[in-house]
Amino acid sequence: MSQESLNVERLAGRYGFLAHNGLLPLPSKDGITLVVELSRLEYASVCLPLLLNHSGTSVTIIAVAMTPHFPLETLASQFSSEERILLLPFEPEDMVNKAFAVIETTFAVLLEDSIMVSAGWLSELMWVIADDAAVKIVAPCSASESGEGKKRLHFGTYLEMATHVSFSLSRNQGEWRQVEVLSGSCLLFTKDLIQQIGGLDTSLQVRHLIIADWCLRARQVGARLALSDAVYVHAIHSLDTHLRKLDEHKQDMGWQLYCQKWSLESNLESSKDNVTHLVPHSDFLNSKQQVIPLSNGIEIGPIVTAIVYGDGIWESGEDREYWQEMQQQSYKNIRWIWIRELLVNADLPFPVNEHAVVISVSGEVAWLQALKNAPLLYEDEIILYLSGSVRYGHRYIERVVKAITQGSANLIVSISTEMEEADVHLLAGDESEIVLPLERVAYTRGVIPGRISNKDANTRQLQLLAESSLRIGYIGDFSEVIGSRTESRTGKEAHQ
Amino acid sequence: MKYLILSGGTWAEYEYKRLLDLLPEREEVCFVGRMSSEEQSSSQIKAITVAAIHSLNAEDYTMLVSSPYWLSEALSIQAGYVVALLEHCPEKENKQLWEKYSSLLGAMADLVGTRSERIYLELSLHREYVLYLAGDQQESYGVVYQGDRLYFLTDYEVLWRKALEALWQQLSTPSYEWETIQLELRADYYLTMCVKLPSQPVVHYLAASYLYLLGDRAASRYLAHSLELMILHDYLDCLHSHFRFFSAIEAKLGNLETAVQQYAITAITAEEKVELERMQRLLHTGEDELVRAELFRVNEDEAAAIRILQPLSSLDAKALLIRNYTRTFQWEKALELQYELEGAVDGAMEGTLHLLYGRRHDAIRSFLNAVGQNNEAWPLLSEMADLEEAVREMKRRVEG
Repeated sequence: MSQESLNVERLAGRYGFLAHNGLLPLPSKDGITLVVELSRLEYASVCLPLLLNHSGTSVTIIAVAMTPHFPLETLASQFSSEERILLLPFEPEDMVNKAFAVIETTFAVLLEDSIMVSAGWLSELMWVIADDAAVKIVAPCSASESGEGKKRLHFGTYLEMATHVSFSLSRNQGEWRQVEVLSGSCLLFTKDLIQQIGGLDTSLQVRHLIIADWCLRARQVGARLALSDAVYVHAIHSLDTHLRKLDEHKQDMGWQLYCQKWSLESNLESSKDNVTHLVPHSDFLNSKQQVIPLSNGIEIGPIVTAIVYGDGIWESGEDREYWQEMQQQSYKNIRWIWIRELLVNADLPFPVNEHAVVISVSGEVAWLQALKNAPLLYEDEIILYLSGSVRYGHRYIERVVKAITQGSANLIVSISTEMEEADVHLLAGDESEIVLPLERVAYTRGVIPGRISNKDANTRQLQLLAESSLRIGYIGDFSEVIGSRTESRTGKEAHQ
Repeated sequence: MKYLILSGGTWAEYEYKRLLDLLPEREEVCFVGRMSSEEQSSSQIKAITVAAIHSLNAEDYTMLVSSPYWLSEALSIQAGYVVALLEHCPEKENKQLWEKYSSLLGAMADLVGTRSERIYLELSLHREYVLYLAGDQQESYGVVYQGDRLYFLTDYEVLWRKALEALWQQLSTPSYEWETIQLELRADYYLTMCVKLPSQPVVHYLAASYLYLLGDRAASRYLAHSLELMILHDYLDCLHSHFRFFSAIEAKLGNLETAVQQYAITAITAEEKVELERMQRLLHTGEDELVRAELFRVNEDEAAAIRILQPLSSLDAKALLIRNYTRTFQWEKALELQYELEGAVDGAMEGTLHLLYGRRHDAIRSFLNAVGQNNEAWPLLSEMADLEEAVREMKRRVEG
């Protein structure tokens, strides 16, 4: 055995020891939110304590009453005020979407109160997304899952189940597979997915169809779905006759609507076990279903790739603090890419959040290359450049997105004080190009914005030589350039 | 709630240990028989002797009886509630004796549970409050903490708890809710099986049986398919078992003329022809309720017949009720009505009840009186001796 493989094996052993003893933190800096659908008190009063015990310390629970008569106060009396549970009373609106709207963490789980979890369940699911960033939804195996994920296991006691899961985790750790659809009672997902596709389409009435629909919509925006072979959660079914009868009617209605939405043959029997019926022909990936807005008036907008560049600008603590705050934009649907010059500030702490991508380059050629290629990293709808030398307002990106989505321009320039004063907003260029400061430019995917180049040989100030054929729109902004520190004026909207 | 367990053997042999773990509102559980201190501590169950039963304040206890040979003891204790756990006759037991006293135990219990689907179906046609203590569902349908242990419950375990709770709250809860749930579960299971095993007549027959008990008109369709399959497989001896069943289904749907016509096709023996004539006469005179009750009785659905007849006050209705009570081993009710109507009672039934209530002398006298009626006395006296021996043997076994 080579030294390298010996080391890998040893490290794996150490990791296994930490994992087995519950010493590993969740692979997420900002914790995780568990959205629990409350339907039956007798289940919920067991489910929630198990979630608190087995999900680590950085978990927040949002438990939503799914029926008007759910005894929320009785349930609340079981928990102390220190416990991280937010109980949302029933309201006649989409309760899950309402809960989705208040998720603040990068990862979240949606589960029914009939799901019983055991040690190690959560981190194993989260690691799947760490393994493959394209995976946006992960489900454990359970009796309520469909297809390959459906496991009908009998356990007389919780202890038997926990022993089985512990064995499964040690034997199948790290094993997962990509699947076509998920429809069960427990799903882990990334928050940015909500921003891309919105909430659940409750018009479909039947839960497993609502979940399947959400998963198919996720696939339409390029997300992958995964099933963890290692994690099993125990689903408790209901014997409630009234609900079962009601379900039969809803099942038919929901199935008809689902078939209509996904152009499926409705004469096929809807079955949770038969997953193939839930997945339409592969053509569906070429189109996109409507985004379902969440509650609380929160609107879902397009995802923005924000590319931040600059050199030597994060040297002061004040600057770093500013950039950390700057990332808390009023517009939330942003993916951050940072381009960092190693020769200048290799050892400085970097003010990025944990999910941002940092491209470290060395030398000017590589730097320009990175700026040119960064938009290709994601397929987001809007690409926006930000310079580390400029201070942008809290609502800057929101205003850019608004200008693009509400107007007809496919390239937006925010006019700065300096630009207006120096009359540089229509910079000189030849007839085919307009020269624009790169740090004030945003454009929609699908257009070729032009070439990026240095403003002059002595600085790293960049400009975009934009194609004159583009529909360019101008907006005012609140930004200021570091150094001048002049108070910026209220900008004017200047759509061209 | 306090529970008293009367088993047919030792603690080690006791087959309902898990059901004891899941007893609702469990405070004290006493097991009659030997248990080691470790067994008592791990199960949280107290062992008591047979003699100690009588020192308990029995009214506070729900008694779980799993041997018919405890019947006499159970009657004398007068526990708050009696739950009979009925089983097929064990190999070493006298089958006739076991089945007779099991039926009597089943009739006098407040609730009957069984792990045999055959017994479950038979008893569902005899009485209310019958629970099937097995199932085909692997999944869990409930969770419950007992102490610090969390249990996952199967469908029938959830119903076991519901049935016991309903027993104590009979007046305040909707009646038979749990029974309907179980019938629906069984029907669903067999309907699924019909799809998987489309050429099995038994599966279709059982689907029809559960649908019939639920009052679902689809029963007729499944019965017809079962009959077709029987004939297709050359099982031609199905006139009574299958074709007659149509008459019960039609009677349940209120189609009495069709039902009587269907019964007529199956009325072969002289006795059956007499029954038919009576039904036709009653139908002619517009006594529809009596016709329905008779159609149910000839289809062995005495529970349905009793439900119809109980509120009726006519002499004919009471006479029919006696037959149904007798067939379903509700002998006390049968004798009471018999005495009211005829001024005399069946000696065999009366003697058996005297025996069970510990009135041995009265029992012998009743059995001897029965000689004059139909020469049943000597077999009954012999059976009495067999029963006494079986009870002694069981107590020896229980106390190790």
